[in-house]
Amino acid sequence: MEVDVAILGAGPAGSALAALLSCNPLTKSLRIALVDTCHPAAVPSELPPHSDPRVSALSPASIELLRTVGAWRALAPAAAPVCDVQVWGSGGSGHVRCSAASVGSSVVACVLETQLLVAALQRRLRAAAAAGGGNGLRLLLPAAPAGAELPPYSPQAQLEGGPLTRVRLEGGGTLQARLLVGADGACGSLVRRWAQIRTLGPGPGSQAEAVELAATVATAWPLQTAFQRFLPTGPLTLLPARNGAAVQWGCPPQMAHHLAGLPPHELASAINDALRAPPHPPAAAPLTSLLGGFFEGPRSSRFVEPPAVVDVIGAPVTRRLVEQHAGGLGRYVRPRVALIGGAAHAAHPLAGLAGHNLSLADAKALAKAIATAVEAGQDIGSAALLEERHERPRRRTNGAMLAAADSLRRLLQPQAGPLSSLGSLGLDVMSALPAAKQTLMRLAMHGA
Amino acid sequence: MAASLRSALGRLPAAWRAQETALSPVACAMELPRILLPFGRGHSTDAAAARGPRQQQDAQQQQDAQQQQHPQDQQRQQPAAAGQPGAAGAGSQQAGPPPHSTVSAAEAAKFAPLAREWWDPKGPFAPLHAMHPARCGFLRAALCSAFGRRPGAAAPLAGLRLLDVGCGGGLLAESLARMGAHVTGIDVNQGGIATAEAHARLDPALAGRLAYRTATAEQLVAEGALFDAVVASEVIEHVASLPAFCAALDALTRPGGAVAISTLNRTPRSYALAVLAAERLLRWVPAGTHDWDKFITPEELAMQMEESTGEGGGGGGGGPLRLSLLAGIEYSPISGEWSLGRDIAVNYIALFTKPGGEGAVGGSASSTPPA
Repeated sequence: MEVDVAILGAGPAGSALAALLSCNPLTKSLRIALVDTCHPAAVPSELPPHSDPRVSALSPASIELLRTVGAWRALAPAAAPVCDVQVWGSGGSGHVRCSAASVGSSVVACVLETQLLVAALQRRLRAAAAAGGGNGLRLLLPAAPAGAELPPYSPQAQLEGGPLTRVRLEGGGTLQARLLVGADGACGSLVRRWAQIRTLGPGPGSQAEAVELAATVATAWPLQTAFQRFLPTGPLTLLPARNGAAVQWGCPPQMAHHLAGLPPHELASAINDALRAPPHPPAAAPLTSLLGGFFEGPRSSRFVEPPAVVDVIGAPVTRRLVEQHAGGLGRYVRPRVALIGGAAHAAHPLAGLAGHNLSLADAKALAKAIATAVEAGQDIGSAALLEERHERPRRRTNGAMLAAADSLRRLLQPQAGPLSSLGSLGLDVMSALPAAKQTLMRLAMHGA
Repeated sequence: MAASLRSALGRLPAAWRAQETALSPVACAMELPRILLPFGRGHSTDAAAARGPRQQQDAQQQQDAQQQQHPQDQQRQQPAAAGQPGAAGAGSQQAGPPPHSTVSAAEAAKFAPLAREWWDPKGPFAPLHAMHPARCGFLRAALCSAFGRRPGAAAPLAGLRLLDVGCGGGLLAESLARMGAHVTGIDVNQGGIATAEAHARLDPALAGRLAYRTATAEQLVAEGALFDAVVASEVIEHVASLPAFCAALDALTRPGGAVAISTLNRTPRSYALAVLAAERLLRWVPAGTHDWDKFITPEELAMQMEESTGEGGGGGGGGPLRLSLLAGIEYSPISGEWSLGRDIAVNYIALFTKPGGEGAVGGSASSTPPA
């Protein structure tokens, strides 16, 4: 089968790319194939009473994207708004709390179940495929790719575009594509392997291996604040979610599996203990206390007690976190190949907070690059174009976001030696300077 | 490579060099291989010494090929005629009709090094690649408005027959073909044509909608060819006779058709940028290459176009070609990007339309491609 764009992976990034391409008049008539080993996801006619533990916090920019493709209407009732963010550490003193109002927005993010997000996007795709009558968009779900022939990676091929890519599917059949998009996730992306884009290994200072425990919980009172505490073992996040709250706890593998095996009430108290472990509440940071009221921010930036977790609903799930392997350095493109989402830059330990936003922003940038190419009559698989319009801007933003998340973690995770006081000083400065805080907020909300 | 280009330029006959006027940085970049190529084939003894071993090998192969294709020699031996893009009224007719031979695989392989340059976005044609999206944006919008198409469609120019005069390596011709048009690219430089053909073969979607010929505009006029629209991008500042070139463009355009031209304005700023900056400061091109006096202002172009085509005697019929759209192609030194704008002081692009014929309907989407 001959197509213009073959997308491997029908997760949030791949589905969003296909949806964006099929809703733009310039790219609507491109022949697109979406391939995944999973069966198509369906939006349940009636939502289950409690949220799935796998949730993601979608930034306003991501919500705008979902509105563009017409998927937000179905998702809005299931989204839980986050109006404030509070981040603090476990060792030193100080905290950062910012509200959406301080940057003139109603929400910082909306928390949504990942499976609903994918299902809503795929429903849009099915509608688009039906409207195209099998000419434009084709959903190959499920279909397993068995191998691929990519154009040789030589300077010559890079300049000329080279021959088209071919993807062999299991059970016969070949996809010949002008552009192959790898949206097949951080763990063992096939496209990444075929294109021989190497991983850079764990970033400096990152944990070699981490597992994230995710659980749906009930809290003593409903929350609209995302609480995140950096513990010596990893970050613990308490997010608002549909009919309750969601906990995401990144920690070493043994600890995660131990926690996952605990009965609900013991897991609940483990979470409470971790959120309230001394020093609690965190003491005022030295700079703030020294300068007294002068630097003390408005009421909205004072420390707020997180609500107690009273119950764990359903079984917690664990997933391995892949350390960032590209960040601001690795390649996202090859001639006729582009990577988006986890395949391009992997998930971060703070993936629940930022990961899908980065993936959706990747999809948006690539869709825009393709539309620009179609408008100017350029070859959509040209490496020069992909490099200029997809890789360069996305690498800059993703690199900045991942670096910011990394430095936040380093700032807040207690460290031995003289650096620990440096960390709290950094936090102090950030807390004391509303402008710095707001810039960070804007970057997190709209930049990604 | 740059050194060999310069050494080749240094050997140009003085007379021809005087004829080779008005090179913009962009146009000069376009021009260099055209200048080089006739020298790369044929008179290669000392020229070969100045090039690298790879190119020497190519030159050897070219010589071998020349011996096999004897009839083509005559034309190649005349760099003055072959190197003049558009070559309107340049007296190049005496060189005889250019060859129409299909290019063999070995022939195409020989041009691989050159193809790399035409299509290298960081190579000598970098400015051309950089301004390409802006140029295409104008052509898409302007041709859509002239022929009543929807610019938002994926292939808005479907069914239109376009001619790209001075197509070089086919950069613009390919883009126009991807917008759905049936494009014929002509250039007097056979090397550029071979590059363009080799590159077009990489994309099966272009097959059947893109054809290249080594020919002058006058040859097509003599054949009586007619097109819905004629595009001459970064070419008009190199032609020997502006009135004759305008008349040729007119003769190739059917009534109700359009002509698009992009070139450089003659202003103090274009002097500062194209001559002072590009020649003296940045040394992109050898000093003295530019003849700023030969740049054309939009007013002059519009008047010349009406004058050359006014009395209804234009070969294409219909009325005079009148300026209908004009835009500047602006360069932002901060972002390094080119965009369309109101500033026509340096680079500009214009659309001329011809009344009569089928009017704005143009070649409808259902019209058949040229034979």
